[in-house]
Amino acid sequence: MANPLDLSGSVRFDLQSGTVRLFDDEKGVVVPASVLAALVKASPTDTRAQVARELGAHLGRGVAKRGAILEAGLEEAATALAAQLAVGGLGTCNLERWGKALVVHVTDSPIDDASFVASVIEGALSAASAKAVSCTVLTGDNGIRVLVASERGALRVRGWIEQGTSWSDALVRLQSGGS
Amino acid sequence: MNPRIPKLEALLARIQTNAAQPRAVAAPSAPPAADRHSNEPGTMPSAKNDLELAVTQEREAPPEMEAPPLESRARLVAAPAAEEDVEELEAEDVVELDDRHIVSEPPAPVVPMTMNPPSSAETRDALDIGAAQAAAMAAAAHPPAAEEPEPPPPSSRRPIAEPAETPQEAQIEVQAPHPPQTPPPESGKQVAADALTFDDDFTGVREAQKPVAPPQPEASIQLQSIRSPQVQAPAAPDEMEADLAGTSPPPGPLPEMRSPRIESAEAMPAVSSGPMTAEVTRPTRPVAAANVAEMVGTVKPASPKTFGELLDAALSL
Repeated sequence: MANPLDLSGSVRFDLQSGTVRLFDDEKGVVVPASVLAALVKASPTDTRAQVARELGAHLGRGVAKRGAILEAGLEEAATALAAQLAVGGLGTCNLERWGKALVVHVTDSPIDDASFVASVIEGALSAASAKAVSCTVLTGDNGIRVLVASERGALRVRGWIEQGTSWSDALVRLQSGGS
Repeated sequence: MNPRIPKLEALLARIQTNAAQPRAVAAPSAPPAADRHSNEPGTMPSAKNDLELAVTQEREAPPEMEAPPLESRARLVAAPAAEEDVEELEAEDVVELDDRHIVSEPPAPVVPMTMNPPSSAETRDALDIGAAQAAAMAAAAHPPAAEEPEPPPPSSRRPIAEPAETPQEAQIEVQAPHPPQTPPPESGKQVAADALTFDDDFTGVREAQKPVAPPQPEASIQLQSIRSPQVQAPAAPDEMEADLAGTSPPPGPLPEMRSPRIESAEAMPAVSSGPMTAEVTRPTRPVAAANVAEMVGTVKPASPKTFGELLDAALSL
């Protein structure tokens, strides 16, 4: 991923056949974001999370297609992930490092459901890195901050935040080994 | 033969003739020469004036000397002042004096001088104030049992004290007590004094309170060679100096010839009566405290270089 990110040919429109081809030659649908948001909002949580992870996995595969993200630097990884979100129309993202914790800050997303976005990030990183990655929402203010951690860690932080702990304190508590 | 001899013989005969005659009434006495000088303020008799006064006195003396009636036939003739004056002497210049006239002459009145010399008591006090004070204190502390006056010392010689071999020995001699009310020697040769007493404020030399044991006399030739020579005490020039009570003239070198004495800490008297005070020395120099704490080693932050490392670290949580 040392070369500049090349997104050419990521979406192809076949107007004769009336199809839209994505980067992996898979057909796509251009759907208004509000319709998708309403669908997400109307679907159950597990279905919503499952749809979000499948969407994210499609993005992750596009990142992985451009190169091994694990060997990439932080900037390159952030660029690849952000570019793939942008092609899908889900906004952009930054990578934040809070000690050992990895936080993905997603902005300008047309889907305001934070859990849905978190599931998209989880699916994308899992597909890009081929590792079992768990994500949970830290905060939805001023963008959506998603914690990237193990499944156990993500469950603990979610539990602390539901108990009223601030997301920053939850990160400190997670890294200090608190239960 | 000297041609003057007959002239002198004639003069002698005339004197004898005059001596046989009864004396006339003396003229009013002329003021002494000193009075004349003193009556003229701002003038002092010079050698020339003295000579003139002497001649004048000789010329005026006869009426003065002839004032009282003479009973004795013994006469005194004024001696010629100079040989060349003999020829000029007239018969009237001869002065006839006798013993009675001289004895009965009243003492000359004390005429105040322009510069009054200090009296003997003032001189004595000025010379030895410290000795007088010490003698007074000693007399007050040890009053004499009886009022018997101490007999004057004999006129014979006293044993002359050995000169101090070292400054310490001389110091001990200085500190030796004085016999109270020692009369001055009346006659004889001036003897060496046992001790010296000088005004400390004047000399600047302070006496140590703690006596130092006198060192043993050394037989070193070099030490003897550097001793100050023994100086015979000069006789008192006048009676004022001889009247100093309890003191005597310095036996050896003058005080200013002595080397200055440096008082050491050991020689200083131990102050045991008053409370001891500590000498405090306070720190005044500034102390540089900019780099008092020095950090050794640092906490290595997690700085993954790849996204894989960061993801592994995140998944470890």
